[in-house]
Amino acid sequence: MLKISKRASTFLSQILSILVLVLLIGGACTMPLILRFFMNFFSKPESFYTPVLMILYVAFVPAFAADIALLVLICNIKADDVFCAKSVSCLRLISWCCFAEGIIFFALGFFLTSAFAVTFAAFFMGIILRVVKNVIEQATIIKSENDFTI
Amino acid sequence: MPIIVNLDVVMAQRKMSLNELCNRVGITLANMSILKNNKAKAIRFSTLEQICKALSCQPCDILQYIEEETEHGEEL
Repeated sequence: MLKISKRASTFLSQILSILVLVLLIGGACTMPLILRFFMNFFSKPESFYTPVLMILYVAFVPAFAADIALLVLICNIKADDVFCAKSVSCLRLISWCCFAEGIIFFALGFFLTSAFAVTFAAFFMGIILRVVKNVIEQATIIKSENDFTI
Repeated sequence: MPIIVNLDVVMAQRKMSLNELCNRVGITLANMSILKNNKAKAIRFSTLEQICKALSCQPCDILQYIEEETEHGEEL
């Protein structure tokens, strides 16, 4: 199995997060064109276009928030300050963004049934991240106790 | 924190400075300040022993328990 250093791994995570941010910005700018192509390709009724476009633009908000929180988290990792309240807040925010996306894609599911699959995936990811947040929170408490043990 | 550290009271009674206490106990000024300002979360018995030895006092002279009523909630 390919092995990379911890520093390279963090750098890779940072690059991927920035790439996702660039894709989100690009997607937000070109969404009307992408949706128009998608609607024509799958022969969806024209009446779906406006509500689907609105729902997708609403979906961009938690996506942007989650990606920025990820970048903040990666900065904390690079600064060797992982187990802190800021990291716990970032994970909490990302999990709530996943739940928000789940709700948004549930609404989208009434227009495009495949969106229900994204709903499930988003909720599942949100739950996983909540548990990870709880783990990091406990680790933060243990580190704080260790740091403040004289 | 329900446990209060009354280090400054005993230090004043023994007329000992913080620097002198640090040198006698063998811990850094930063850690002693954390202890003195009630920011410490725990103290090792070895450290407590050294402090009591340096100040010629008992643990109950420097540690005091005050009951806390409020319970802190967690953010959702």
